[in-house]
Amino acid sequence: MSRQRSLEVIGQAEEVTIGELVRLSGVRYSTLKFYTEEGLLPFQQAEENLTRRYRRQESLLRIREIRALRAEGRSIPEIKALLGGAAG
Amino acid sequence: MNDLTLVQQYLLCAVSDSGRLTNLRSERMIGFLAGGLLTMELAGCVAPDGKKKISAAAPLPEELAYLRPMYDFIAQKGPVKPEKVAEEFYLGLTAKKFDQLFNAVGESLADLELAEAAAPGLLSGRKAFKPVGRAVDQVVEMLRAELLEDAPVSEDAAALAVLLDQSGGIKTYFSPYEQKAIREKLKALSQSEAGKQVADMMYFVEDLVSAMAAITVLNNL
Repeated sequence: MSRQRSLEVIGQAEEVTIGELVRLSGVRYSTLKFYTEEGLLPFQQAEENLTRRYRRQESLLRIREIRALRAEGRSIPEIKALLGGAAG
Repeated sequence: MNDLTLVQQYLLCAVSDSGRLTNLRSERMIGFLAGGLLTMELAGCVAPDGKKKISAAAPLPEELAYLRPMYDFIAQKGPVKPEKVAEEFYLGLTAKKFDQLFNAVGESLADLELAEAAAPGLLSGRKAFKPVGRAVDQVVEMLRAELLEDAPVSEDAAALAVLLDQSGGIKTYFSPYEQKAIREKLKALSQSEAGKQVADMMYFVEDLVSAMAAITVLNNL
């Protein structure tokens, strides 16, 4: 087990965990998990049962895009179509 | 968002909606003291000695200055049982030392604009620190992300979860379904090789809370 990484460290990391993405974005865990399961937030996972890793910059940008589209009243299926699923 | 210590996170989760922690919530007062000890243990400035006593292990870092009274007590007394820390900071008709410690941690949150301080009541020296905006939500979501995810858990998240569970605070923020999942995860962790620290921490907090609770019962007789 290890200590939590500080915000300064994760703010510069190339890859982050979903917990770190929660801390960086301020978005709820359940929301990020839902985006992940819907294929809107791409991640990497070396093997099954290993931690999912998200590319920090791309993920934060994607979260901002999704939130902006939600604020415009777009539905999740519409957003998936617009953003091309997990292709980002 | 800020990097918060365990005791700062615990205070945010332990106070009422108005930011108060009254003497009626003795389990949360004990949880707060245990949170202070665990924060210093995680920072490496105090350490348990295997004989259920705690002693100073390194100087107190500047960023934990709000725990100075607790650290100084441990440093001056030498190896000391957690019950003695409880006696020092919790017992007494006015709980004055507890109030000073609580106010110091609360002010550190007010400085970060995560809580609004309000003056103490007429009969207490303890201020209220009402969490601001999404301060509590961010702590709880961090816990949720670490403990409900199929991934390693950090010492910090495990310690806060154990503390909230032991002091009854977990019911406020997690559904029965989530509580069950969290307890199963902590138990599984504690039984794994990598989770020895979690097991040690669970036993440490359990001992701490039960020892401090015993002191409370004796005090109320």
